Amino acid sequence: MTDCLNEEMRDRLPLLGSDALDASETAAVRVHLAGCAACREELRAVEFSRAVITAAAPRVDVGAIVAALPAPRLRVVAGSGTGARAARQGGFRRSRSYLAAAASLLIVASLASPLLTGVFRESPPVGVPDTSLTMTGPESPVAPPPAIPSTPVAAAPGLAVEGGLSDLSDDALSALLAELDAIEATVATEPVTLRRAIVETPGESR
Amino acid sequence: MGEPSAKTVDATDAELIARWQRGDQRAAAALVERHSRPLARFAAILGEREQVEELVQDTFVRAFGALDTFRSDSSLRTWLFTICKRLLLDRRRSERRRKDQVELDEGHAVVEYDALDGMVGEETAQRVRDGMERLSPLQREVFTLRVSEGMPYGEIAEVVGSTEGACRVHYHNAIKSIKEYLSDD
Repeated sequence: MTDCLNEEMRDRLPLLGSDALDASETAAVRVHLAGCAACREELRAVEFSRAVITAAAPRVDVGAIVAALPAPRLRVVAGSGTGARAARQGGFRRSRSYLAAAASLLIVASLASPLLTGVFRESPPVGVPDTSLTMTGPESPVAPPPAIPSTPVAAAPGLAVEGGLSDLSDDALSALLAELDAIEATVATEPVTLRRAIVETPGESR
Repeated sequence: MGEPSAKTVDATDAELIARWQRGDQRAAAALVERHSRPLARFAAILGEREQVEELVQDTFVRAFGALDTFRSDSSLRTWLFTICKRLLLDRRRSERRRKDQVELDEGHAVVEYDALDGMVGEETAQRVRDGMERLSPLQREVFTLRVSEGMPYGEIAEVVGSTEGACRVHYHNAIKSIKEYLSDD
């Protein structure tokens, strides 16, 4: 018997009954088969061949194959806390972060230490206007303190870290403490009041 | 290992892979259940006789060991068949090197068949076998994948390392040859 000339239908014969053909394609093949003896013969050859191929395959033990499979590399889902490897990686990442933070801290500390030492050594004496303590920006709730002449300040004892207080006489120290006691501190006015007390009446305070 | 549930039976390969990667062993069992028999058929038709199960197991072990690298550009089935064929060819090469057994002519693979389930008479079955054994190795691979697995030519081409058009020609030559054996009264 000669072959059918409809190649498309012949190509679909082995797929008949499988998921590879949708319902409409299957129906078209069935209609064609009803009128084509050559394709019916070919389909018979296909089905015989399929049966022979199936019979050729030994049975396999699915359980044994599954048991031999490697363990999956678990993917860590946030909050699941599973996966030893991922956990190790997480620990490694954390320790790396800690090391980086510690290194940064060391660098900052080593750079900052000479500056800090200089700041403490050069701390201004009491009475010297310290603009860094006053709020002068537009958002300041109070007016900036008036300018204070610097001349008398040079002679005034300071509160420098290095020996400033120890240079004061007993009277001066008492006066200073009294002034300090009298001041109920409000941040914006405290330095000014203190400065005025010292600068404007240096004689009285001594 | 429990019986695959309806959920695993209906799931796609990609869904089962994702579940196995999350630690679900039943998903692995479902994948093996789904693909092991077709792989065994393929291996047997290609001439593997005594170590079909070992070959199929090696195929799955290789595949599951590399699933992280599997990209769904091709289907898992195609990938498994490709691995299976590569392993089979590697075995044959090493067997030839050892020369401790009779060299198997790829063109005349001897396939041992179990008893057919009554659908095909013994005489008819023998004719089909004769016809298949005289196919070229490539024709036999293409024919098996098309007839037994219902693979599209594009997938077959990936597995056998050929083109879609060439696979179509191989299939038609193979079925013509089988028909001739069947009608050889």
